[in-house]
Formats: sequence, structure tokens, C-alpha cells
Amino acid sequence: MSDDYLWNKEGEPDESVVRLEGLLSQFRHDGAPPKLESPVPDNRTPILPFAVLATAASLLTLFALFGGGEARYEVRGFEAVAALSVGDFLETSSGESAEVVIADLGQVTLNENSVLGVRGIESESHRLTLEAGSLHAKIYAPARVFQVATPAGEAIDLGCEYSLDVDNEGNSVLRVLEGRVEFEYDGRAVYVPAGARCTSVVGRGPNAPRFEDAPPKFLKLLEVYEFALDDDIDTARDICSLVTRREDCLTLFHLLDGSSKSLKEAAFERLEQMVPMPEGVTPEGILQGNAEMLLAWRDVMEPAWRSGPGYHD
Amino acid sequence: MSDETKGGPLPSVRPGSRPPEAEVPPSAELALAAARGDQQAFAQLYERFAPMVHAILVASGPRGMDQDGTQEVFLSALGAIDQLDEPDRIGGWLATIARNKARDLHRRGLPVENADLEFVPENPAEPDNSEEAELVLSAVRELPESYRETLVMRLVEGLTGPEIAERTGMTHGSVRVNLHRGMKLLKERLARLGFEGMAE
Repeated sequence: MSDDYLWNKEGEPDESVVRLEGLLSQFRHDGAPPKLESPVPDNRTPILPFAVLATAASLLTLFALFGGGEARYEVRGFEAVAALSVGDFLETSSGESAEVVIADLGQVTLNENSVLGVRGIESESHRLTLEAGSLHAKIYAPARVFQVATPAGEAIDLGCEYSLDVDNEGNSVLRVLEGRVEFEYDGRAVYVPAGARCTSVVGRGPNAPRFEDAPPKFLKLLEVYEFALDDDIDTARDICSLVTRREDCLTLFHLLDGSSKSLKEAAFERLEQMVPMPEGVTPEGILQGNAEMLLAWRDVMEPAWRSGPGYHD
Repeated sequence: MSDETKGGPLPSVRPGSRPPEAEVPPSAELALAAARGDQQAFAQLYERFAPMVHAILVASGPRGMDQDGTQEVFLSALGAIDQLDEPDRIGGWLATIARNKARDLHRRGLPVENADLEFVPENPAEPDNSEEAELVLSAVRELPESYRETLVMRLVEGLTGPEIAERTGMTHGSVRVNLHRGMKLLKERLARLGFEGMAE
């Protein structure tokens, strides 16, 4: 069936579209105009409340970043498209690839059978979406300026080189080659340093990042149990006891914030054996998720995670 | 501007009552007039762009904050519109403000229970399909951002593809791709959830 009805409501109605329109129309905008306490201002009378003016000032700054012309990224090696602006998509087919130049910050190579979208081009924020397929990014920007969203979360560059894959379900795999990337989903963030990867599932978010060369048995058991082990502390202890390298504390540390209660407890016990808590950090604070204490303990572990060259944030 | 409109309440805008495009001046003209303090022009901009702004908040903002969030976006725009250098880009400008607003609202951390309380079906006399509608909307909100925004503009706000392109500043091709791919993904998800008639 053609998608004419979906496009402009003409042609033979698509029954499924009509049904969805009927269901979703109840969420439509109610038409209520803004509750203005004062008329639209002119330049002579600054009558808006301070909060609105403050918001407006920041928006003006944002707008000014676009300058006189439309912001766009140059596309190389792809005959059909030479540049991408906000709202544009680049779709590659089998055997095709494209290089997108991210201003003077670096570049993204879009691999075959992939879809890349541009969400925002601003001096302090470059936002892309990887809807499908895979990309390789090499970025030299201040931390958090370059971000790529996938259906399973957002990869936030902290100064790095990485690859990102999105499967047909939207699930994403991030592999960091250099530096470090933060991956966020629904308020939870994990830190993925060079040499490590994390997988994020739509609706669930990222797993604990792990180094590619971590003990195979540890990795295998985590694949099975990370989100499926609730009250089995003995199994959880067996899994965590497989960690003997200091860098694999990366995974244990992120299990403290994971979904499995028993893995959290076992990871804490193992970490306590491997990495002494700094002054002011208490077991109770860690187990209760005290953010300051967690960060302080992480600072002690983190030097072992910086396994790749080029780390900076 | 007439004295009657200056300082008075903005005209009410009802869903589905949009006048034909030909009767309303182009958006750039309205933006320039609004920047000069023409309240009627601002009201017409609101009427034209509120569904797009609302769609972005429905697609990406916390549930239950879309109506108030839409008003906040326009209040923010109101304070800055006289600085708009490229009035013909007002749609993209408002969309950027709306996306920032959606992020801000998430940061504020609205409790979910409050969000649920704000939903009221449009016509309570009709059979209550709100649960089914919420499920469908949840599936839409799990789609990639560009698809979900465009689909909400089409399926929730009732805008056509050309209207979406005109308001957002996207090309017809990009909107068409978003609608086509977004609908395909949505149908697949709904079919997995057991919705009948969603298979391609």
C-alpha cells in the first residue's frame, strides 16, 4: 500500500494509520494560549518577569551561535549528499559508507546500511542520532560537546574515539578505542573507558561496562546473570570472585548501580577487598548510593581504567 | 496594531479550527510583526506552531507536562523574538526551544504520579480507550527521536507531511523518511505487543 494517506491524508486510507490517529488524537494540543500576565512587549517597555527574560537571554545566546548562515556538516565520499543540516538524515546502503566532518572537532564514518540524523549543530553542542547500523567517531572536543543518541541511550563524548552499533531492535553496543565515553539512558550513566564496551537494551538501558579482555568466564556469567539474579548471593559471589585484575573493578563498580541486589552486594564485598575506601567513605554510604562517596571511591579506582592513549576530559 | 488588541487577552485557539493557510500571512511576516509588538501576530504564530511545539514535548518531555510546557516555550520565545535575525527560520527556532524545554523538564524531575493525574480524555462520554492509547503513545516515545517527533505531529496533532515540513523547516524528503520508517518501526513494536492489524 502506498503511504499517500500517511503523507498528506490523501488516497486510500491506511486502516492502521486511521486507527492510530483515532487513539492518539486524545493527546492533541488543547489550544489554550499562553497565560500572559502582560501584552507582547515592544522594545521600549521591558515588562516581562525576570525569569522569562533570563530564559530569553540564554535562548538569544543559543540563536546567535547560528550566525548568518545555516549550520551544516560537510559529507565526503558519498555522491548523493554533500552536506547535512539540522533535521537531515544520511542513509547508506549495502557497500556504501560516508564520512561526516564534525566542524573542526573530528569526523564520523558512517558504515554501510546505516542511518545517521543531525539533531543539533551549535558551538557547544553537536548532536547526532544513529537510527540504525554503525559508525566510527574520532572526536577531539571538550567533554560532552559531541553526542550521539540511539534508541537505547546516548553516547556522550568525553574526548575519544569509539564505535557504535545499533541493531534492528535499537539495542546499541558502544566500544571505546581511545579516551572515554559516557553512556546515558533514563537518568543512569555508565563510564566506558578505552578498551571497554557496553551494551544497552531498549527499555532497560546499559549493562555494566567491561573490558574486552576481562576473564572470559566472568564475561559469560555476567551476560547470563547481570539482569537475572536477584536473591542468589552465592552465585553472585562466585561471579565477582573471578575478578582479580584491578581494571575489572570498572565492571564491579557499575554493578553497585545495577539491577541485581545480590550482585550489588557481592560486587561491593569484592571491591572492598581489592580497593581500600578513602577517608570519609563508609560501607553504609556506598550501599545506600551516596553519590559523593561513590565518586570518591571511583577516583581511587579510575587510574586503572585509563588503559588507552589520548585520555582527556 | 490596534488599541483593541494591544494588551487584551490572546484569542483562544481551538484544535481542528485552523483557518486555511492562504488566509494567514507567511510565518516570517508574522514573526517580524510579533517582534514589533503585534500581539495578534504572536497569537497567529502560536496557532500555527503550537501543535509542532506540543508534539515535540509529547514525544520527548515528561508525561503530563506537554500543555504547560508548550506555553512555557512560547513565553520564552516571546522574550526573544525581537532578536530573531532570520524570521523565516522561526519554525526551527521554536523546535530548538521546545527540545531544550523537554530536557529541562526532565531535569526538574517531575514525579510520575503527578504526570498521570493531568491526563483527561477529550470526550469522557466516549468508550474509554485511554489505556490502549497510553500503550501506543509509550511505543511511539520509545522510537528514535526524529521518528517519534514527526509521528506525533502526524498522528497526535493531525498535521500532514507538507505541514510538518513547513513548520519544522525540514525537507519534504526528510519528513517522508521519518514518517515511513517511524511508522514501520511503530507497527512492528505494536504487533509484538499484540495489537491486531499492525503487520505490514
